Amino acid sequence: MSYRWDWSVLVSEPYLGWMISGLAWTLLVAVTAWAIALIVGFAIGVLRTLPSRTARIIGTAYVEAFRNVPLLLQLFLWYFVVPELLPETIGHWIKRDLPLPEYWTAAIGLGLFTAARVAEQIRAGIEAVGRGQAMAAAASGLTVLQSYRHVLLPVAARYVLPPLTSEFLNIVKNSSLALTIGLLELTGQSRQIESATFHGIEAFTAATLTYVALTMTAIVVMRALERRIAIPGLMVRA
Amino acid sequence: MQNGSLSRRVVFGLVGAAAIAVPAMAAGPGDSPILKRIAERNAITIGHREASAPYSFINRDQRVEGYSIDLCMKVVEAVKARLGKPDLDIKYVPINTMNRIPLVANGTIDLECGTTTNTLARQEQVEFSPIFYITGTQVLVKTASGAKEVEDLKGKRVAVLQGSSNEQSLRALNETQKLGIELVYAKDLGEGALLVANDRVDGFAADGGQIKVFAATKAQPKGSLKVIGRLLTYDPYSAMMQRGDLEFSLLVKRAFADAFRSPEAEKLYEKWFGPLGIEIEPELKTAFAIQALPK
Repeated sequence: MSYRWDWSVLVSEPYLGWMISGLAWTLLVAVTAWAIALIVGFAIGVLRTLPSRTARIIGTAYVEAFRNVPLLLQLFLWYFVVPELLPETIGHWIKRDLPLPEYWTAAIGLGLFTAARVAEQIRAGIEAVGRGQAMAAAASGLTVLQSYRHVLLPVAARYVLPPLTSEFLNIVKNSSLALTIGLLELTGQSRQIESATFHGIEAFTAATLTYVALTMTAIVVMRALERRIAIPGLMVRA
Repeated sequence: MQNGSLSRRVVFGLVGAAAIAVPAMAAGPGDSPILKRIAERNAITIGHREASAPYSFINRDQRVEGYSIDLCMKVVEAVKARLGKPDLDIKYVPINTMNRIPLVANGTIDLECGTTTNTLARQEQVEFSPIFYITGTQVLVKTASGAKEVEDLKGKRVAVLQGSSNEQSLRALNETQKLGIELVYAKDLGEGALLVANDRVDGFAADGGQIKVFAATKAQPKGSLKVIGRLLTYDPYSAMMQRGDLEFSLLVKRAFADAFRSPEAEKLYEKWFGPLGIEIEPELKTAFAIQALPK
């Protein structure tokens, strides 16, 4: 292959700056989306296990709506379609006056998508704690709210920590789809460098390694967290 | 006396050179790696864009066509004649801005026929054909906005394609003229135009030729979008091929020069741009004339 390699483009200005800014946007989107995914995901996961039938239907509807539509399509809908469906003044505000519209759209879209997946894991975790503990909690005079707060959720959260780590890694990688609505995160900046210099292979290699480094760091942190919060005797240790 | 022997030597030299050159030119791949490869595969691989009408695109019948493709076919004809293979296969490979360089550099594609701007930085990676289209950055706006030049968009939001030369020019203009234009990034032409149509931005800066085509064919309702302003950059389009193959490069230059010399190139322009009501620019006519090197 007659490709002329030149790794120095990655450390020369302005391209190094572009990569750093891309990394910053990737982290910012991932962290914001993760916060949304955890809050909404916990709530929906709990709804899906409550005794109330209405609550369970709402939870199921959310999960099915958000996990059955491709993320790329969801981002497109949030960015281009939703503002058109809203009342004109609100739509106009989203389109023209909202600061950083691409960032907020990407973070919320990605967060709500991942929330459906988190919700399923929370539901699995709560169900894994078992009816026995729920009944024991009820027998000790705890209300439904109290039994979730003091018994079910703390144990379920520990059970689902490993799969939640996977979801977090997914959110870091899925954030690259934000480039389709114009947010120049890590992958988007690599494309910019590709177009400006034609040294795309170097830029995409650097982006790949950065994603690997990010996710490896997340894995190490989460493993340490899992060890710290494990309940002796209750959790199976590898 | 001395004069006579010199001219005789020149004559002998020329005859000798012609004797060596003629067989090499007449048929066979010679020492061209690209032609050798084409002869071995019995196929020439053409890189094309999927949705860059009318330059290079897939039509409703799922066939690849367009202005760039038609010009590349002149090269294909020349390759067929050179190799003496009239039934040479043509393989089409879709390309995008992310993979076009690696695919040309690693030899997957023999000739890229799309909308690639010929720049010196890019010439470090690939070889370019003669220039077959000239455009530059212009701005697509809503006709109702009344804007006439990019300066009329002072302090407004303007979309650009990610990683395009249009972005760089707009940035430079922003700084020198303190326009305070806020840049928004679009992934492709369709999305950029959608941003304008939806009032998400006030303008979309891209290659003038391409947005003119868009305004002429896709604006909803018809005539609601238009292209304004002078050319802010100079973006000449060329076809890409692998570097370091002088033989093949010469064959491509010759095929293009033949098309530019005859009315062929202008006819092709008329075929693709005439129906859209986009007239040939004087710059392009001049480019055709200058690159129509004598045989």
